[in-house]
Amino acid sequence: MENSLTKLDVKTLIDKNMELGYDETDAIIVTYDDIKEMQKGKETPLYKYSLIEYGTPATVGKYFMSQLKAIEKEKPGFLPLTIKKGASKKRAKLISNISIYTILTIVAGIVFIPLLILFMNSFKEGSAISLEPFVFPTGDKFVGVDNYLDGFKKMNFFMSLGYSLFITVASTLLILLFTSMTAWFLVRVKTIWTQIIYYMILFSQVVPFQLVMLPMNKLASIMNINNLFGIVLIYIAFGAGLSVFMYSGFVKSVPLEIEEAAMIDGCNPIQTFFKIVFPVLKPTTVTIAILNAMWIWNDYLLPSMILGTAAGTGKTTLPVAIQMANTGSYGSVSYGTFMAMITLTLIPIVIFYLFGQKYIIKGVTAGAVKG
Amino acid sequence: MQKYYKKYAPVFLGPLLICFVGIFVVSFCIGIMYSFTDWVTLSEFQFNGLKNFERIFNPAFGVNGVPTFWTAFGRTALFAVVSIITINLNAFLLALLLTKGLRGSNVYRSVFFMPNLIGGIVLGYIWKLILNGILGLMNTNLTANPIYGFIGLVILMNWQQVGYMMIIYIAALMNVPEELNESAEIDGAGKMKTTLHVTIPMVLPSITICTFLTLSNSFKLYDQNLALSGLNDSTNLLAADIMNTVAPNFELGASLGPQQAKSLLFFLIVAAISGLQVFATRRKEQEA
Repeated sequence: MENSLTKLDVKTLIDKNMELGYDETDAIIVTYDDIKEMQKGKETPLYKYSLIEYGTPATVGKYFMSQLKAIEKEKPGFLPLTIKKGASKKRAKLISNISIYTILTIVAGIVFIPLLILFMNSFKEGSAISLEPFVFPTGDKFVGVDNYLDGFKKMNFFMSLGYSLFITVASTLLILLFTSMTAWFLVRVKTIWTQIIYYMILFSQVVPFQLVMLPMNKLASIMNINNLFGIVLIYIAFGAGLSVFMYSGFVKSVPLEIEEAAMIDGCNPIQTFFKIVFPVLKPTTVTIAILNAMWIWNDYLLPSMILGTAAGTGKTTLPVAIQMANTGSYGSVSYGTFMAMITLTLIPIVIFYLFGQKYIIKGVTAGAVKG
Repeated sequence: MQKYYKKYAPVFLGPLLICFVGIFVVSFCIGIMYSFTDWVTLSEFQFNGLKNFERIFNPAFGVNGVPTFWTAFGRTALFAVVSIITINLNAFLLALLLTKGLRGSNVYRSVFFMPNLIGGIVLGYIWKLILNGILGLMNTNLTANPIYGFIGLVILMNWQQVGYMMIIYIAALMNVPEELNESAEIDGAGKMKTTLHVTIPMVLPSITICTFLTLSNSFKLYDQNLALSGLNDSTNLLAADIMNTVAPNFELGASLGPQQAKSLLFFLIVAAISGLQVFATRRKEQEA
């Protein structure tokens, strides 16, 4: 549709459009080709201004902006400065972006500052921490790595780290193996018994640890599983609920046909599961592994009951060791040493997070929404 | 095929069920039964009816004539309300800021989520240092007034949980179709109005999820409470109050019945919350 508008240079054209773009009136649109013509220096008497009668102002505005961006890309500096800097909408957006970044950075500071203060205090002499915790250690208040050396020795850090690592890794792997097998079987074989078992395992999620803790503790000492290897079995029992639930949700979406095909090819159910089904479950496996590892690594109550009495030898997990250090099970621990111990226990977590944060965030989101 | 699979039940179910039934189910049954006994060890017990439950509500075992279970329950409920509001509000606002498509949003997201990985005990001691430091500037400390412990716990839980809830909200906000916001804007709705009337209704399911997560986290909270304030009748939440029943008993060789009975009540509360959640999500799904 031809328009009766008079000649306009690009600047006024743009200004006009900025005015009209978000208005109720129809927007003027200038095509890429038109601008190209202009770039060639041809004084085209009348550009093809079209009135867009369809489409919302927002979509027209968007299209217009995309055209302008293409021009800017092709020939930087061609467009008048107004479009790049002067447009009031853009300036408002810039200001709002700056304020958003400011807020985000402040929040990031709130996240980091407690950790930095902890780190700073781990180099301080014990009595100076409670007196002036926010002051940088100087002079004789700065004790270098003494706190760390003391912490290593008193807490038997590497022993506790080994305990935490072993328990977390072994429990997580066995939970993955056992619960995936169980979940697959429970989904594929529908009888009254598998239903009962499924709901029983599901129900265990609701039961707070406090209710079963005391009998479990006594049972564990009777069955002689109150040790490094036994605690793994206990974690399997307590991890079953969430993991079976999440696995069975995913198994339902695995097509039966591939299992039937495997069966026809001569696989028995065990081979079918490990060669065909388990690899398909991989995304869920990652999620479940992360959720379980985080829970077991940070768990305090269970290991404190099952392993807790081994003060001083380090034969317990890191959270328990920290709590024991505070309550004086290791003899007198200076506040500085205590800060160093806490910092030490944070390091594995930070490393774990640095390497796997993408999976961790994804896994936790999936877990929260499904769980 | 089912019949063929069935033969393999021991292989697939065996390993998990041995652990699960042998440890969890047995402990659960014993736990419920022993709530009504005066047990000290598993073999030494006598049923004593509801005596353990009477003890829980006996003012003689409370502070100022109020049983500790009640004060802890009230404190936990208050804590749950305060943290549901603060955590969800903060998380939602951060999620809104991070879904504007700004550059570097993912880096901020990773940073905000990080505190979630730190376990309760360690977290409690980090914040004990910070809070005591701040209160120290005012010549007081965490133990001086129970309200400090309460507020401290709210701050701590916000620090830890906001990132987690934020992730859930971000996932929900990303699913809100762009056209919806656009058409709202065209219809003349401002930023505020669009958020209130378009965005929030669209992410309502995740608000339900986050509310219940915060609620059950608050009721189960123990590690952070322990590390920040110790076991203390004036700051204990429910889980800590249960632990406080047993701690002295271990040494005296006295009955574990009262603690077990408290745990049973605790279980009923937690189960009720979970039931409510299932009910709420079901209804949402039906409406949708």
